[in-house]
Amino acid sequence: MYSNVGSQPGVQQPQTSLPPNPFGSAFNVAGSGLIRGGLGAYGGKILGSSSEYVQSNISRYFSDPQYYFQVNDQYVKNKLKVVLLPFLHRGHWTRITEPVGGRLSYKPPIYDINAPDLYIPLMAFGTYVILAGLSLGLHGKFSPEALNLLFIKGLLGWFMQAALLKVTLLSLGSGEAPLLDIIAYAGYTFTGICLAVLGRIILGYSYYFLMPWTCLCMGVFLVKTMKRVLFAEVRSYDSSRHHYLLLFIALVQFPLFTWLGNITINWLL
Amino acid sequence: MLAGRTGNLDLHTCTSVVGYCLLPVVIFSALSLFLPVDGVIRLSVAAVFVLWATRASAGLVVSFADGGDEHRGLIAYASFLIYTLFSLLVIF
Repeated sequence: MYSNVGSQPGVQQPQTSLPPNPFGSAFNVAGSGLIRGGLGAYGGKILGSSSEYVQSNISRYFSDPQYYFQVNDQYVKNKLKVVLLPFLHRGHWTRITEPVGGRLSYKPPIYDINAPDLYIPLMAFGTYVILAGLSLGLHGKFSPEALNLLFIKGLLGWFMQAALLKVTLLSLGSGEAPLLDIIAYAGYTFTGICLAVLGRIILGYSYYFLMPWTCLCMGVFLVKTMKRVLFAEVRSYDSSRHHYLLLFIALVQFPLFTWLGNITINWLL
Repeated sequence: MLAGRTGNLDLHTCTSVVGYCLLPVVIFSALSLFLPVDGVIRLSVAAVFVLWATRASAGLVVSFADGGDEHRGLIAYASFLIYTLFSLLVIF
C-alpha cells in the first residue's frame, strides 16, 4: 500500500510543515499555522546562518545543520544527564576532534557527548510551549493567542541567551565559535525550564525547589562549556577576567529562568 | 522527523505521515463533543488518543527511513509534541 514511488531526496530541510486540517476547525487552523510559522522561522534562521558561515573564510567546521542532527537515543539520554546534572559528569568537557582533509574538525554528536546538537534544544523548546499551554489550560486561561504569546516569549528568551553567550565570547577576544553552536548551547536552557514547569504542574511547591536547582545546573553547565570553548580558541588565558565573565553567565541564568518559567498572559512578567 | 535525517526520507513523506496520524486526534475532536466537561476524563481520553497517534506515526516513519530503528525514540517524541499541541486545542 505504501509504495514509495520515486522518492526523490530533494532539498532536505530540517523542519516539517503540517497539511491544513480538512475539517476546518478554527482552533486547528490556528495551531497548524502556529507550528508552520514557528518551524518556518527556525528553518530560515538555521539555513540563513548556515549559508552565511559557508561563505565565511573562518569557518573551520562543516557548518551545515545536518551535523547538529546526527543523534541517537543513547546520545540524547547522556546529554540530558549532562545538562540536568552537570556535577555527575565524570571525564572531560573537551570535544573530540578528528583530522579531515588536513583540517581539524569535530566529531558529530553521535560520537561525542560534549558536542552540541539542535535536536534537544528544539524538542525542549516545543515541550516548553506545550507545558505552558497545559499549565494555562489547567488554570482556565488557555487560548491559542496565549500559546502564540508564550512561543514568542520563548523565542525571545532563547535569543537573549544566545546573545549573552555571543557577547561574552566576543568580549573575551574569541568570536569564532559557529553561530549554530551558540544557538545549541543557549537552547539547552529549555530543558531545565521544562523540568521546573512540569514540577509545578504536578506538585505546586516543587517549583520553588526545582527552579533554583535547574538554574544552578544550567549555570554550571554553561560555565564549563564556555570555558572549554574559550580554551579552544584563546591560548593566552587571562584568568581573573575570564572567571568574572563566566560567573556573570551563571548569575544571569537566575533572572532569565524566572522570567521564562513564569507562565502568565502578560509576557513582560 | 528532525532526527530521521538518513537521506531517503524527504519532506513530503514526513508531511504525509504526520497528516495521516492526525486522524486519531480528529476522532478525539469528534468524541469530545459528547464527553462531559470534567477535566480528568478529558485528559485521560486525550492521552489515549495522543499515544495512539504517536505510536502509529513513529512506526510509519521508522518503516520508511533507513536506519530508523535507532531513532525511534527521538521520532516518537517529536510526534508526541505535535499531537499534544493539537490535543491542547481540543481540550481547552
